[in-house]
Amino acid sequence: MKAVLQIALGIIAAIGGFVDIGDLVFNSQAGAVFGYELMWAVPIGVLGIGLYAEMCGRVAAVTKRPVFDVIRMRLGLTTGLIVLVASLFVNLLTVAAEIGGVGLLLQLFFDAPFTLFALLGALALATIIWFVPFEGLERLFGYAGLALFVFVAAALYLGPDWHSVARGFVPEAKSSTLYWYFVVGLVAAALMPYEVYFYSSGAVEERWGPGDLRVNRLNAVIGYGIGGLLSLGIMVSAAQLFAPAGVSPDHLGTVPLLAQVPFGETGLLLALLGMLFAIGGAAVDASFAGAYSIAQFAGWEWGKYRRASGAPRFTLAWLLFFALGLIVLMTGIDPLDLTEYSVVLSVVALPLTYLPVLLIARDRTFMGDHVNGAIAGSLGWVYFVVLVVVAVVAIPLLLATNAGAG
Amino acid sequence: MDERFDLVYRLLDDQLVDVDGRRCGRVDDVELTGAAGEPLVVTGLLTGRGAYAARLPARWRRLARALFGRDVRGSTARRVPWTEVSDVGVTVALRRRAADLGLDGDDWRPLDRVPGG
Amino acid sequence: MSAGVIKLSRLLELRVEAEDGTPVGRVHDVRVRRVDGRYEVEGLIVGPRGLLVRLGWRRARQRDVLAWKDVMAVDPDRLVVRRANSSARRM
Repeated sequence: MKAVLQIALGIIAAIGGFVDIGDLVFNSQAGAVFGYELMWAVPIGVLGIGLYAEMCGRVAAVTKRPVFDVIRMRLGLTTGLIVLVASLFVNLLTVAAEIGGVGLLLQLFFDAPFTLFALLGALALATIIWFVPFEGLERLFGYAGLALFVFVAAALYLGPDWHSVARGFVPEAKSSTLYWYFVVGLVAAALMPYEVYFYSSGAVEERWGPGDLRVNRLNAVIGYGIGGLLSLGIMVSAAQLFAPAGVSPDHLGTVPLLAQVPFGETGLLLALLGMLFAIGGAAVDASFAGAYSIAQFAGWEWGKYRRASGAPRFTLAWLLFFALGLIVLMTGIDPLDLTEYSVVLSVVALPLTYLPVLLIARDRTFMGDHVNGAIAGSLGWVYFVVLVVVAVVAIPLLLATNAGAG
Repeated sequence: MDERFDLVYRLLDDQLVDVDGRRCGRVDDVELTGAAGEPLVVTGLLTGRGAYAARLPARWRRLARALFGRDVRGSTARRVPWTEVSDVGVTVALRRRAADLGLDGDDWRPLDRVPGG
Repeated sequence: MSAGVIKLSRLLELRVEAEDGTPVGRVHDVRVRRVDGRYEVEGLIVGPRGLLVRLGWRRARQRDVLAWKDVMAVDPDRLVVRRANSSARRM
């Protein structure tokens, strides 16, 4: 019974941790500009991340190898180094975007320069990471992120036209480049690579073995599946409140309005709390993902479970990621633009890290009986093609639409 | 250790783990001793960023040396005698502690004094 | 030739040629075998430089094993082998 509770708590934390600033930005803007027409893009991204995470988790549980260990081992030094550099670059943009999001939210409470809040936010997060053990971190940010269900509640409360909602799940081949830019953005925001590096390293941090494969599958399917509902909730409520008014949320502070309009102050506070912890948690995950990547690639000791003194280079690496993220923000770049760049560029780098994992997951010499089954096997390849297509069109669409400005 | 194995597939780029289970680098190169027409024997492993430049394509070697440093034994790269290897499996297991093999570069005492972590 | 140190990285970047200059391929891997407690190089896995190999993917499909005793010389830029075709065994 206790084991079931533990598993359930883990899944709940995964649900709350699903959303980050990329999902918030793209889902709210997609709803505001295209109403329900882009609903279909979200399940594609959610299915993708569920599949990828399940594979990485399975590989980590069975072989004890997280993603960048696999990459170094299978691709060798030269190609692996290229993948590492690309990953670290997009990871850094993501860390900066998430810290920027935290800074923007804090700025809603007090009147002070944005950079001050970014700095305070980063310091607060670093302090929390320092003193809280790994599992505690996941629980803390994950549970608080559940407050984002207020958007799902708002979407339901506002009574959408369910016929239109249902139609939104049917993809439509429109000729608008902005439409396709959002498709890429929605899929990419769900499939952020840092989540997977973090998840697979976390599996090793928590000493997963073949006995944890069911938990892994539940995390991937239920955790991310229900987490995807949060994204849909944001899009549907944006479709109901922003679209008719012609408002496109170009500031993060407008997103909580989606909860305030139906639920007043309570809704607003829940939305802000949820956003703050979801984005803050993502900043933690992304900076750790960067530290995991470099430490695993180089062979250094790594892991929160080793304590700071037991894994000094790893510790300095994630601290450095926070510092560099702040430096990126100090260039004055708009955090929402940064968010869009980080999401789009991440999906360009994604196939490079996806393929080695897929190839290991289907390799019987490594996985034994836990090799990809029929479903994971065929879906795995289907998604590789999807990712390559998305990766190829991502930058052209980014440029053609001027990062969603139209 | 298997009686027969392939160096690139099984040894190169694998994680080094010392006798205490501590990760202490990767197999960044392998040292072989011998010559054409004579036995060529595995005599050691090389680990450290100083070994990177030799692995990268020749045209990038100068840039690699600038980025990762030259192979300075004892500092940017270290040699582990093959006799110190106890097993080659999922990881390469070493017989002794990282510190005894000169692989404790990832040791940073100042962090010991900071509480928490 | 006196015994010296040859790094694996060096072997992996050499092109392999027969005595008459015919290209044989590249060294993809080095097979070792335990002999009297030491690990001796038994053979080299040689093959063409296909796209996958260029991308760094290990375990290219078709591999030929060249016995180490058939290696005549390790030059600065190439490995010279004798009887390239007859000694190669398909894996």
